[in-house]
Amino acid sequence: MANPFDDDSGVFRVLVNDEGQYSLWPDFAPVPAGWDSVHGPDTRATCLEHIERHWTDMRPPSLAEAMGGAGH
Amino acid sequence: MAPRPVVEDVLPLSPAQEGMVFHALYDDSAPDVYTGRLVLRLEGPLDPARLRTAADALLARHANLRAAFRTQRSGRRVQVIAGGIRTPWRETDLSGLPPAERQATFEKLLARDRETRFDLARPPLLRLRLVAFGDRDHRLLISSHHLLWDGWSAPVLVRELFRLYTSGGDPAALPPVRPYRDYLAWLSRQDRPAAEQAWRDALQDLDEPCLLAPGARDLPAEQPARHVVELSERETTALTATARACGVTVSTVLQGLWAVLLARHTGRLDVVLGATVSGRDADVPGIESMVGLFINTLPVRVRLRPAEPLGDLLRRIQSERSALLGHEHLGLADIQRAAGHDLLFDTLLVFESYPIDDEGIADALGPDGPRMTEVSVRDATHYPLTLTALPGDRLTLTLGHRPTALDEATVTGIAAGLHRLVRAFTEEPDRPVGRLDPAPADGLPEGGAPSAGRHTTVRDLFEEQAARTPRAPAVHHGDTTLTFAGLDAAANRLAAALLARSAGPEAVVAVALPRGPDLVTALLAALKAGAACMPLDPSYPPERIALMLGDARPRLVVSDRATARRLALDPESVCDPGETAGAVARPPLSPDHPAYVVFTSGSTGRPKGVLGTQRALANRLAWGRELTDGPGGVRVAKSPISFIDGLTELLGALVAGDAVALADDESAGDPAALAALAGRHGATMLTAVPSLHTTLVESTPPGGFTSVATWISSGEPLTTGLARQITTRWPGSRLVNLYGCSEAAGDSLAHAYIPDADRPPEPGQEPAAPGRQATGIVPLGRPVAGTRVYVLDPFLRPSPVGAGGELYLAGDGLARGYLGRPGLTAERFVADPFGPPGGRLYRTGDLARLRPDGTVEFLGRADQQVKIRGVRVEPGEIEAAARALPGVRRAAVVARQDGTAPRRLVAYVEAESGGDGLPEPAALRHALAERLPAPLVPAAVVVLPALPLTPSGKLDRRALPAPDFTPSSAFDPPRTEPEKALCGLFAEVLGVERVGIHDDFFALGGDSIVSVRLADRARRAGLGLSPRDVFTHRTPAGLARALPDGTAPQREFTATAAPLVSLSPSQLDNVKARWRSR
Repeated sequence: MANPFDDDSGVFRVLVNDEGQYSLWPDFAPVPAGWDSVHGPDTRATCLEHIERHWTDMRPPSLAEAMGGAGH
Repeated sequence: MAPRPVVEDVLPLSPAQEGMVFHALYDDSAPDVYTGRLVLRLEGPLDPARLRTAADALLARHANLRAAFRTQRSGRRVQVIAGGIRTPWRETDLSGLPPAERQATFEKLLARDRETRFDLARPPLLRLRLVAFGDRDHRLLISSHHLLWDGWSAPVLVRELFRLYTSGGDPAALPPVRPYRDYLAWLSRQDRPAAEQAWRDALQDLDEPCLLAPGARDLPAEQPARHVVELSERETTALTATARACGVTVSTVLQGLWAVLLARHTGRLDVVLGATVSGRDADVPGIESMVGLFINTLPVRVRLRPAEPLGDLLRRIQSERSALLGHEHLGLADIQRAAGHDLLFDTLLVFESYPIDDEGIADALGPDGPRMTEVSVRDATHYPLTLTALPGDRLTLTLGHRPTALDEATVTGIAAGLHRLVRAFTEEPDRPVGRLDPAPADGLPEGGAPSAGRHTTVRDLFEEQAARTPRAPAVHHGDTTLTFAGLDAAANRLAAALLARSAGPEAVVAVALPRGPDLVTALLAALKAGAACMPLDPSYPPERIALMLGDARPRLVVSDRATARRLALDPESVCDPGETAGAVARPPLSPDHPAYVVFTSGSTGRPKGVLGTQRALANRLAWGRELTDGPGGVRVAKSPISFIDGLTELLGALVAGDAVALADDESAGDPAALAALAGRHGATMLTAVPSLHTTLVESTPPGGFTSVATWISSGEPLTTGLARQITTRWPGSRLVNLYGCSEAAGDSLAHAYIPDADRPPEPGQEPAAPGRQATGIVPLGRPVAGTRVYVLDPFLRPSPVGAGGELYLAGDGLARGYLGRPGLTAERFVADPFGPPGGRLYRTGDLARLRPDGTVEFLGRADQQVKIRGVRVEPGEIEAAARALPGVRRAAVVARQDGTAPRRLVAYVEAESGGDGLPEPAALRHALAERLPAPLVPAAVVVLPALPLTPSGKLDRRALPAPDFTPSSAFDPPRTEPEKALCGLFAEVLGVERVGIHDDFFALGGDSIVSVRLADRARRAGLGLSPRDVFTHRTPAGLARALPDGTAPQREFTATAAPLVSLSPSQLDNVKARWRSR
């Protein structure tokens, strides 16, 4: 079974939703509603690097704000 | 009287003939689908006797039409050409019937003819029948075995028959025949090794065959049903023009579109279809006008790339095929052998593009003869689905399918999908393959039930329940019983201590305690404080615990002194379960805050921590209240606590108002101990993985578990056979199959087992899922509250109903992600194109299909992950651990099953070169056991000079040798009766040939499940041993010593009064053979 998310030679995007959650996304598929492309099209590895670099706090922004912004 | 047949020649078979003979002989009681038929309508004056003479002359002219097919004693098949035989000829006169009845009678005659098999050993394999509808209106029915000629030959044959009719049977009317023998001689001159190599290259690294109806091979042959799609003239013109503009043939276009459909229906991007080639490009002079079987059926492999424009794909298919052009003479069986598969495809594409000389046929009958006004051809294949394209002003696409292998709805869907794809191609030939839309949006799955209500935090759920039934028992352990009020108060005290040490929302509180009331209190206290609880199994290797603690960085670890010391916990971080503090205000708790951290095996060599939310766990627990059997329920809690199932089992009981009967670690897998625990507390519900269910069915003492009203199965696929055994063993109880994973709060799908509906179909009955083979696995069911599920194809679109795809989960149950692993989180928890905007899907890696009613069925794993007794195991994690050991260069871990032995993990290790000798397998296994939790420790380590690789450098799994569990030390035969009995039982349950008295149970591949079987067998043989004894004493000699004095094995075992259902080792292994995600 070939899953498009596992295709090392595929072209990908990085998507983000309002909750600040990130998603790897294959470029061939339309971007789902409620998600914005913030990086790509690019290689899978580069997209993952982008996510590792930018998604440093997995808390939803509203929670993070309520808790004073700082991570625990 | 016909002259006696004489043998004129003996010839080999062409590859296509070989294949057809195989299918004709495969089942001689079923219809032979390769019986073909041609019906000509002849209007005008006709002389039947003259036509018969012509038919005889035709047979005399073509030696290959007089062939019989025989198998020599060596097994080799030959065609024997008979001489001196006439064409079987019958005449039927329907002209006396009322005109309205003639056609119907003729149809009946055709149907009867179709069922009349040819005997391949009795030539000729053809027969003619002239049917008179009137004086000047005839039908000529030519029935023949497909072995004799192909579609290209038919017009040639008809023209020759008519020429011989006009010449009165004079063979001089036709040019000398070019014998089929010349073609066979040409075949024998071809470079087979080169062709085999070309096909091996073309099919390299193909994982598995591409099958729409995997079970069809076992079904009897049958006449196909047909579904016809006729393109309009405009569509046909557009298709031809677009194909030309792309630089490809219409045949290639159809192959490409068919490949896209196959991908959707099989869930694979690497697909193979069969295509028939004419074979008339062979270098044999005059081959284009020869009569015979020249076609060949060849695999067309298409590796789809979702982002590739369709036009590029088609050109790629065409150029990949042209690389094989000189090698199309090789037979399918030889190609399959070269590729290392015994089957490659089960759908066939036939593009009928042979020349038809209409004028020549008309001329042949002469000005005074009849006119041929209609021709109809009927043939079939043994393939479950055959697409026949007939070019013309309007391209006709006929889908012939075997009705028991593929149902009408599926074929209708495929036909409609093909038509849409043809249109999509003509409208936008460069649309990326992954955006072609072969299905309307009807495949969109329905949403699950709404979420379980207003409960959004676990502590709310528990506290409301505690307030409702304060005096009811909540926890039973040994002689201790805690009420809900008592448990609530104790958890509040500890929660205050946690909060006083700032362990609140967004903090993690680890719990490392032996199974007991303190464990339950501590988990609840963490949740009450608003923290995420992280249960740790104190029996894990300290190294593993340290790794988990390093990843999760808990604010505190609730642990007793002894455990904390053994695990070398940082004293600063330890909180004793008895600690308390003054009242501290509880900070507000959002449903988005985490509720649990649970670690699962990680494919890259490191376990990964799942951070689940309050919403997710509360939703799962609130839904789980539906499972209760009414007030006063008691649930046995025995699942290992560090897995999500351990947590949901425990908390699920409490929020439902049921009491928890805590099992000790030792009794968790022992049927006798579990039955005693259940009996003592009147347990009403018990959750187990199927491998444990098997043990329970097999080994529960009489009268055990009679209070259990609900059996829950989860963690692995539950076979229908085992489900039936459970419900038969405990009649009146119900069995619920749960499916889920840590990433979605434990359970996402549920199915109440219905014995009759879920039973596998009897042979000959309709399969459970229309058109698909029954899986033999109890369905995963339908989504639980607040949950949606999707089965998606490789283009991320809903798979057609009944087609295998990958299972995705959505809804309240989804975790926040993996601790400290944003990249991994973003590739597993992905944007949801189907639900509310901004939502996420979790991709499980499990393969599944939907029934028409929305029930999900399990089909397997998409990746290498395996399940060992319900525990999810990534071989990659064990491989990484093995590679980290000194002296190891490479490692591969597989779950394998050899003979009657249970399915077990085997690590294959390639040693560093230049070292002094190879590492000792036992030492490697021991080193792994120090680093990995028990279910991840391989049963055997095999040291190899080099791991076997495929030509392309991938691990060649099929070449990995079976591990040798035969003891390496000298064989010490048994000395006493008990030793003799024990050695025999060891060998039986471990699936090894012989066992000496000093051979170690675990070194031979034994594990906890097998130890239960061993103890059970020993007990039945009169040797009173427990699974724990097996763990402690390990060898037949040691176990024999541990027996009470004077014990002797009984010669005969007397059955107990209770119905005992016993599984053979192979049945047990079947149960274990398929695993699913957790």
